[in-house]
Amino acid sequence: MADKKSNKADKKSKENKDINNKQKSKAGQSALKRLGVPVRGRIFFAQILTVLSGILSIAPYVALTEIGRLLITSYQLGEMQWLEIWNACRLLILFFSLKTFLYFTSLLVTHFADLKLRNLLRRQIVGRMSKAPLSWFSESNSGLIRKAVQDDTQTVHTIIAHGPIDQLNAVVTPLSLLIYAFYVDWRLGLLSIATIPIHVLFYGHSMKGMPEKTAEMDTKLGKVSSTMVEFVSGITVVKAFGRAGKAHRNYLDAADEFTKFYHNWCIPLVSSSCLALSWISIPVLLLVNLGGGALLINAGYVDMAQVLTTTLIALELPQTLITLSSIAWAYQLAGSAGVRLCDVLDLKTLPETKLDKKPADSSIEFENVSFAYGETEALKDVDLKLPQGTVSALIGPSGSGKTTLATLIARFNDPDLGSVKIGGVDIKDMSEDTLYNQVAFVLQDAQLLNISIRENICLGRPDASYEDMVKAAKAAQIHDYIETLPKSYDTVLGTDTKFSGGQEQRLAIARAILINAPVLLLDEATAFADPESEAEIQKALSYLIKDRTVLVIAHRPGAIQGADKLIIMENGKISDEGRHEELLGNAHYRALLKQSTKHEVVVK
Amino acid sequence: MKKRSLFFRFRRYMSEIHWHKVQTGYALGLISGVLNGLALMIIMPAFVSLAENKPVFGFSFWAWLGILLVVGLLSIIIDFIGQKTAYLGALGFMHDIHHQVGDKISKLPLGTFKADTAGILSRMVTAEMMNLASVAAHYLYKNFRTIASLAIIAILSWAWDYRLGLLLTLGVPVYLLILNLSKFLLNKGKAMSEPTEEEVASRMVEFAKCQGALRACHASNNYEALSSSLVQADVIGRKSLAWQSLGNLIGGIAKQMLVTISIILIVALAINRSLNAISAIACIGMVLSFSKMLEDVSGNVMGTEERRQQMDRIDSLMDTQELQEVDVSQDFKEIGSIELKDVKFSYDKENVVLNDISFSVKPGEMCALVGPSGSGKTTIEHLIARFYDVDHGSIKVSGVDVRDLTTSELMGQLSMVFQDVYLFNESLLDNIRMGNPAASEAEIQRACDLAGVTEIADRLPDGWKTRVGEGGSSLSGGERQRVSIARALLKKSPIVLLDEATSALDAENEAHIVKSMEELRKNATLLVIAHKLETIQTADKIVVLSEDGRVEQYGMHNDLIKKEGDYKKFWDYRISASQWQLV
Repeated sequence: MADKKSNKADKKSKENKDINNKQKSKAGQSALKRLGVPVRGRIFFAQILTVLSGILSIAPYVALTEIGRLLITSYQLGEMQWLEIWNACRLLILFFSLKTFLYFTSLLVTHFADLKLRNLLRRQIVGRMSKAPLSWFSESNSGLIRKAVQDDTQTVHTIIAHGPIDQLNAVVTPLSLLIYAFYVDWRLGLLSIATIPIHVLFYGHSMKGMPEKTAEMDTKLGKVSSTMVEFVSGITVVKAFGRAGKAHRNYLDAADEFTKFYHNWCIPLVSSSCLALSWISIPVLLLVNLGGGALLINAGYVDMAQVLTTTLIALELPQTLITLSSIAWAYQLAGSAGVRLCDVLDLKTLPETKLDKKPADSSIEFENVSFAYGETEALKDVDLKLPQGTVSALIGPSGSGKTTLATLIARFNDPDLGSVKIGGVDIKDMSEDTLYNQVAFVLQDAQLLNISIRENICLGRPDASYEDMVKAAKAAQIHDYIETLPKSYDTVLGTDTKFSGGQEQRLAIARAILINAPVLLLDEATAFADPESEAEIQKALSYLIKDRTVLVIAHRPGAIQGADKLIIMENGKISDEGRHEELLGNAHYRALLKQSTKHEVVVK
Repeated sequence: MKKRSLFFRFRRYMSEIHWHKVQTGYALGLISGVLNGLALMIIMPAFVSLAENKPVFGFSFWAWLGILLVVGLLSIIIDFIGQKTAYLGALGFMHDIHHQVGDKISKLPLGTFKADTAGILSRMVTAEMMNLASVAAHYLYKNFRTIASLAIIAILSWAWDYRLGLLLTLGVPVYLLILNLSKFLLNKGKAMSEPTEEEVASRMVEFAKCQGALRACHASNNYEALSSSLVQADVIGRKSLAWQSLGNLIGGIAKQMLVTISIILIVALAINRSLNAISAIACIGMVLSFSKMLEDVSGNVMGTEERRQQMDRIDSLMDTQELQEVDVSQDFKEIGSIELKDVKFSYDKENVVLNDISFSVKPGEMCALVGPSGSGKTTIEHLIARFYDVDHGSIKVSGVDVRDLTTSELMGQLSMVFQDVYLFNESLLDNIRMGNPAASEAEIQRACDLAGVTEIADRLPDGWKTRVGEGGSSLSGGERQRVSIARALLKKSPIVLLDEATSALDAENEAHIVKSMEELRKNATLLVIAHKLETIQTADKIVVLSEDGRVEQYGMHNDLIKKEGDYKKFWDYRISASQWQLV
């Protein structure tokens, strides 16, 4: 009974999966359709050419029948009709040239449509990204971008540009051949496709249950993949704790189970598909067509050349069935790439304003700000004022909302409720230029580009003088190191040299110094990014915060004790704020402080 | 090696029995292919006997059809058995390659495994393995069969009419020549655009990754490096397309031209009356089907060629030097001791990382490794755990050379708390218990309290039973490190190798690590890549490494601090850094 129940449940989940798969493939096909719109006209033109070129593929067969007929009558008459024969040959050459021309033109059209689509997709992705909220650019989404740019665009533009042509060609060519076969003689035409229904019948039978089996194969193969990943990624742990044997065995078990399943599925499948294919194998087709053709010749309906022509056509037809199914498969694969691309292109963007109000000063104000990542509430009704020229620090356990709150000022996200104001103006009412004239940030990720050091430092002020740049680099404690590089400031990062974490941070600080925005967001962890060069980074940071309105995301309360305002955060709310001395009565603050100072300075 | 036929490269990865199956399958495929070719050739005599209504080679038309029936049936039956046998062989290949790759992985030095290794290997044993198996089962089989057909047709054509034989025999190299030219042009076009395509892709990823900086610098709407790479890709893309289109054109012409020229030649012979009408028609037919088969084979060969790289990847994995492992370990002499003697090491045989490193740590001591980045601190810890073998000198763990220990004996001596911690997608508790499956609940609780894992469990939705995601993806880096420390606390191995580097990031994490280290010190030898003042100050021994991978200074804090030198500089530097206040 229990078994029955679970069977039913299984079946249901399988049905759901099937529906799911169907929806997925439908979504994929409509995504491809949508992405193909810009080149639809060109593709249509190429399709017309393809139809013509497909029709011309009957040329050699026409030549065979016509020349054959002429040769036979010539022999019968005892007089060579060489003029007609040469005319037929000329026609053959003409057709051949025409087909080549059509083929080449359609190739050019699709190739260039392909190129256009590729460029268009890339520029659309770039355009979209430049307007997405900054918080979107996380580690996992950068993987998504990589996939979208490198693999998905490739897959999608190829299939959109070439798929319709290949597909049409695979239909038009055999269809033309078949029509010609019927034109030669309807009885011969019938003969040429006589065994195909039997083949389809057998083939359909062997394909029964294919989707389920394929899904099951995917699951089993997925298991092989995941056990392999665990085996390899965890190999150090696995060996350290004597689990090597177990991880190895898990993998082999999954692998063996897959092979066993595949064996049980494939071997009967091979038999039945062999049986199906034998109906369209060369000997069978020859027997049917030559045998039947001979009877028709004897009956005087057709001549030799005609029989040979339709026999050869019969041999060619099955090949196209295989081509068609492989194209359909390519479309399926491209579908999911298309969906991923559409996801990127449909990225939610920050609303733009036409107002462009200018802030009065560099004070910051959060008014009733709430924000949630999907279901998870990150900030709840936060009110906070940071006067111009003060240094404030956010402290609290990880996950308490420090970073989320601070980065709202740089519009990494827009708050769900409430507003963030700089100099009395809601940042949503500022243009991007105005906002980033006010705000700069130095966060844990230094965000250096694969361009020269000079361009990296001067990214925000391309017109900065050499002296200004050097001054910034000196203040950021990185000038001396840059001077030791053979190409100095022209060294290309990532190509000519690789910077350590601390060097990267100092370069990012130099950049921020040059931008010279009145508001600065700072993650204090940058100071500890690299134990080898902590002191230099620290010096650079101390210089950077001078004379600005600063908000620090702090991890070590000990380092920001002198701040004008300490803001304690808990679960997305501000639990207390004030100066160090004022907060000493707060138990939570004391605990945080203790944790941080206890082990730091034990000397002297 | 690269140019070796794919067929023979399968041999290496197949057991005797499966290899034999594949060979038998292909042999049957060859026979069936010959019969298939024969069946096609029968058209000629059958056709002539039908047209002229007289026997050819002593057989009438219907007799020829009878022969065709017999030959055809034989061909189909043998094909059936052949395909099935080849399939069984290919399935065997799947089994064999799975096992060989698994065995190989367990024998490789730990240093072989990089961040992307898991992805490469898991693709190797799934999608790529399927592709190669289908080459063995399908493509190669079909190629052998069709080539056999082509060969028999070409040979018999000579017997039928030497001119037809000549035409078909000459046609093959001409066809292949043109096809190669087309392939050359296609590849040239593709190769041309590869660098610019890569540039565009990495610029776009960079554009996404650095979007914050670009926007803050007003550069996100006109990032010069990206826009110029897009323009460049456009220009090169056109050039590359021109070459590729030319290649396609030539390839397209090759197929058509062979047929057209042959037909015209045959017709010319017929008009000269040196070939009779029926023969001419039959010859044209033969040319048509011959060229179709030739096309099939060349398409198939290109399909298999693309998979050569996948075989290359397997070869390069299987060629990787294995770790030489003894069958039986020597007995430990001094449990918990570490000794490095004249150790030299480089990753690439050129840039020396470690240069004559010698030092020893006695059981129960804590030794701190300090030095600038690139001085080889991490490498020393990896060598002790035998991620690699030293180029010169020796490393002893508990008094025995690590090369004279089995992996499990060596690992039994060590706990490793490094920067990248892997967690299995099991419950948090299972991941901890792994440190010592025999540990009691109380021991686990204590280890978790000390390492700060208890707080993680409190935060997670299902507490201790929460699955931590593949690789531990649902935990932060600091949290994963705490789990790793809890494991080490439970394992109670005589030696602990530890890297403090990333623990510095936040105060909470650091507090747990310090407490745990105090506990670990009680019972184990500690070798620590140290950044914290406290660790260094209280270490029994400090090894100061220089930038070129030598031991610069060696001794205790109180002695070293009195001498002018790298250590004193390092210490003063750390002091000033630790007392820093932003405001």
